[in-house]
Amino acid sequence: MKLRRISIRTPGKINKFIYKKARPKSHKCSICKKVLLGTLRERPAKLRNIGKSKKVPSRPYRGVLCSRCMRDKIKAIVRGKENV
Amino acid sequence: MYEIGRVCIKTAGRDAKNPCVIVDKMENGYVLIDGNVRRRKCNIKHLEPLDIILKIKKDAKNEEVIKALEEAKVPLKGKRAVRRKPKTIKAKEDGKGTPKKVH
Repeated sequence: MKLRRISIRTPGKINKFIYKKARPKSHKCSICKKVLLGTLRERPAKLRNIGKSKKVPSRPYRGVLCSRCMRDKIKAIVRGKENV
Repeated sequence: MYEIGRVCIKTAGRDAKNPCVIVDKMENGYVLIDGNVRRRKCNIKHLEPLDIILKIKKDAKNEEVIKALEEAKVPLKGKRAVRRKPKTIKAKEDGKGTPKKVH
């Protein structure tokens, strides 16, 4: 697991490093691999208390595809070139 | 092609994948839509037209539009709200097992 390094100064006037758990990476679109907008990057303990509408945008294929890839996929489904 | 009564499917926004009907025409590439979506103006670039045209008047109300959609047998909700091509099933070489249903 990756840790992040923080430098502190103790009350005894000693400079040292402490290590804490790092935030996860941002979610990516499964087709074009770009960073998804409207999603949260937090550890699971914080995500549990937040409602779903604040973690993800409100449209089909949310959290999985970016808006451009979703539009292309719906067009391909309507024209008969892809299955649902 | 985008005339009054044309059935389209919305491709962008929070009500994507839903069928809608064009109710009025505006300028600069906008139309007024209604149906299983909110009654608002929409850009033509965010619509995908089907080959169904309904007989409704200009500025029809929401109930009349939904009634016309149901009579034309356009599915309003669920997976079949968007047209898809049927699955092809390959028979197993051993001949074992029962074939799956085609939806």
